[in-house]
Amino acid sequence: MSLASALPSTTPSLILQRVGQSRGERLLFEDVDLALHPGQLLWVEGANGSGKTSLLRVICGLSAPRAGRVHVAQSLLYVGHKPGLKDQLSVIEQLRSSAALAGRPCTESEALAALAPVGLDDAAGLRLAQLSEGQRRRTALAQLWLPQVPPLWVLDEPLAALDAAMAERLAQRLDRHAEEGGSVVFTSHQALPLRRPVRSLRLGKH
Amino acid sequence: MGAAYQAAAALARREGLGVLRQPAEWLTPLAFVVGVALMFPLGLGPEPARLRELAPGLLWIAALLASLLSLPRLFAPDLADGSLEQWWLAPLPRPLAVALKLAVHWGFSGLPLVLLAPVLALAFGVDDPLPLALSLLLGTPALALLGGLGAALVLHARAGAGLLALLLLPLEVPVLVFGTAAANGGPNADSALLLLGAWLAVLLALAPWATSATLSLMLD
Repeated sequence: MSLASALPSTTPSLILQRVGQSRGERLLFEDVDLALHPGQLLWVEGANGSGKTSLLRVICGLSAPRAGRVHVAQSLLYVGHKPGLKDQLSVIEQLRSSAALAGRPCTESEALAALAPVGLDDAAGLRLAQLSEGQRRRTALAQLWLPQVPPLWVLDEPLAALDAAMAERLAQRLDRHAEEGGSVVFTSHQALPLRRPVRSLRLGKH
Repeated sequence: MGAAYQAAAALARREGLGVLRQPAEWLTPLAFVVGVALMFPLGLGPEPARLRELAPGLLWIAALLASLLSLPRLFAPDLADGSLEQWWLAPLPRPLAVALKLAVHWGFSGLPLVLLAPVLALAFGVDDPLPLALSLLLGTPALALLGGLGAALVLHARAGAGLLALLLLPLEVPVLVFGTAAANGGPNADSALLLLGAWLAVLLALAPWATSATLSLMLD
């Protein structure tokens, strides 16, 4: 077990202080306080419309919170519900393009190696328009297997459209990232088969 | 190479590939201009002198209207598929991301018109199509920059295409006035070309910032 898993670092990857958000006049959540340390996994739970995606977007800086402060100490990787997939690109073009757009370019062999765990190495040359929803989701998640990844991962419904075997592989990847000192914030309507302890943040009415 | 350079190159490449692999996106405005040009002799009569005199201005109007065709879909797919979020998270100033997107858009919509219009002008007997080409070279990027701002403003609007035309046509009047004055030649052509260049410089300085601010509001 690494040091990160045994003892939280004193410098949190992510700090939320009394964060609140609303959509129009409707209050989604308020007074969310949190400090996420390297090596920790956070599951953001809640019913549809409780503000899970809104919280992730606030963390990423894609929308401003209605109240409170957000401090992200490290660079982050965001795989949203709509992860910027272009139908006109091939699977490998999309993966390399996403990595380069994030400032972390990868070689073709690195991209192919990242596609293998998500079962798309044989489909690397296919256009995204030809893929199923599950395969498109796998394409977006393949970024997690690239050699250069930022320490903080923010994943919105990563299990959506995935089968049980892929969900297991994804959980193993998240476990390994946390063991290596990374942090993960994710939303999901179902539990991931993670081995490491998972912190939980429930939004909306209990 | 720096992360910002990598991100900029990736954005330009994926946008370029995306447009290149959708030929209808960039062929439609060209076909529109050719189609409108073919209507000139039908609507104005076949007198060569009249066509020669009116061709630069008419081609400018056709180019301006063609520039409106692809604008409703300029940012809408990027908003729908989450690409805008990825640009905003890239290690790249947001106005630069917008400027790159608009540069690619101009490269596939405006630049072909700059190359095509002089050929059409020659077909109508215009002796020197160079002023028309130069005016379009400065005018079509200005139309793309204004169009980007307009497309961002109506991103969530129903009937956005009609609203976009109503919004943009008044803003594009200076471009059309300076552009046609420059394209027609004559004593004021040089001044018109300089004014067109100045207007383009102003838009280059302001439009990417205004468009990125508008897109941020649309994403929020």
